[in-house]
Amino acid sequence: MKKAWLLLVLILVIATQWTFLSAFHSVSESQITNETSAVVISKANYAFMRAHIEIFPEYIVNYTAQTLQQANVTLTFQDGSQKQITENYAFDVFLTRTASHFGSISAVTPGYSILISDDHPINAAVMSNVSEDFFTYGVGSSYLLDRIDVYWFKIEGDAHVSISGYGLAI
Amino acid sequence: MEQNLTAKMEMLMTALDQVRKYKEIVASMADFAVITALSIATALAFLMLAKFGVLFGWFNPWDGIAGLLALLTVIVLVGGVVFAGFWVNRRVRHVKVGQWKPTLEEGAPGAIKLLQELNWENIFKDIRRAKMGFTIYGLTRVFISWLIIAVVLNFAAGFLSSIVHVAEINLTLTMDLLSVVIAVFINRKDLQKRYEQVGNLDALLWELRWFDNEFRRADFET
Repeated sequence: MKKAWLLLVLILVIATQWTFLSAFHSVSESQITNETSAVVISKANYAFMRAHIEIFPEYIVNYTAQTLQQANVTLTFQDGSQKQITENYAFDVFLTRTASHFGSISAVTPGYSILISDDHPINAAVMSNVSEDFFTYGVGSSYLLDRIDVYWFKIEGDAHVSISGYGLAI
Repeated sequence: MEQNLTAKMEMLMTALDQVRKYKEIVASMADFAVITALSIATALAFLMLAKFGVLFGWFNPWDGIAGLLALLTVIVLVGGVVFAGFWVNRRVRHVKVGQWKPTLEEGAPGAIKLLQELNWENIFKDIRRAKMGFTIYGLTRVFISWLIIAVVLNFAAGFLSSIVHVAEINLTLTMDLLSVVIAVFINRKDLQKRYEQVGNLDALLWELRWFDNEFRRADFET
């Protein structure tokens, strides 16, 4: 009889663990950028998200010096700060949970690849050749911002961007 | 006549020893389930720790710690089920059998003494339980195999898709279906064996009923 109770408890523990594990999500994105591009990390506001972003400036041939060198890439962040990179660069972004989960979310910004729903509460997108309007009207003033959290930065220059995102929606 | 009785009795007692072992299998199922569930819970805890670690930046998915946790998940899961199997096997091996042999060596008086000591109702009950145990054991074995294979395949598919960046492809359903096929395939001989054992037990049950009737009639005639 004791074994039956122990088994029942273990089954409940497993069911809880399984349910909790289903709340973890992952996303990956890999794109070549050129001219002005945008990296947009977004999530439903009830989710935690960590994104590992790697930027590899494209190699260009310096015919004068007969060498290969990496392109000059400029990153412009939301607060206006800038960073010049001429070699591979990686950094992590952690977006914390900012609100509780009330009702379902289904948000798509047309043309901007930000797709957030209860099934996909985290998203990572790299958008090439975006206009300046995108940063003003696209991401910056989205009507969805009360339901989703967005982190973005601008990339100017040719590079290969790879994003691995991990989220927990609870 | 005397030799015939002794031979029949030997057959019967051997079969009953077998039933005793099967009964032990049924009794061990609780241990099997507890050990397996414990290993699954532990493996899932390692998996959760790995996911938490990656999410909160304690380590990266490609770090040694993440790899170690992934390895521990698989080892605990597979090891737990293998240990549970060994545990059941150990309990079955420790079942005392053949204790009737010295009595039967006395010949017909020994055989009659053994017959008189048999509790027929309990024997029939044990056989019915053993039959049910076979079915439960077979199904549990297939289910656990499926679970382990599904977890391992999904884990491998997840790992693969994170390396080659094909996360958009949902491999879960494919892996689950593939796991069912593999689980049935690797257990096919065991399932067949258990099916035959159930048939054998049916035959034994009929034979025992015949023995019981004969014995009662002989008792009555005496």
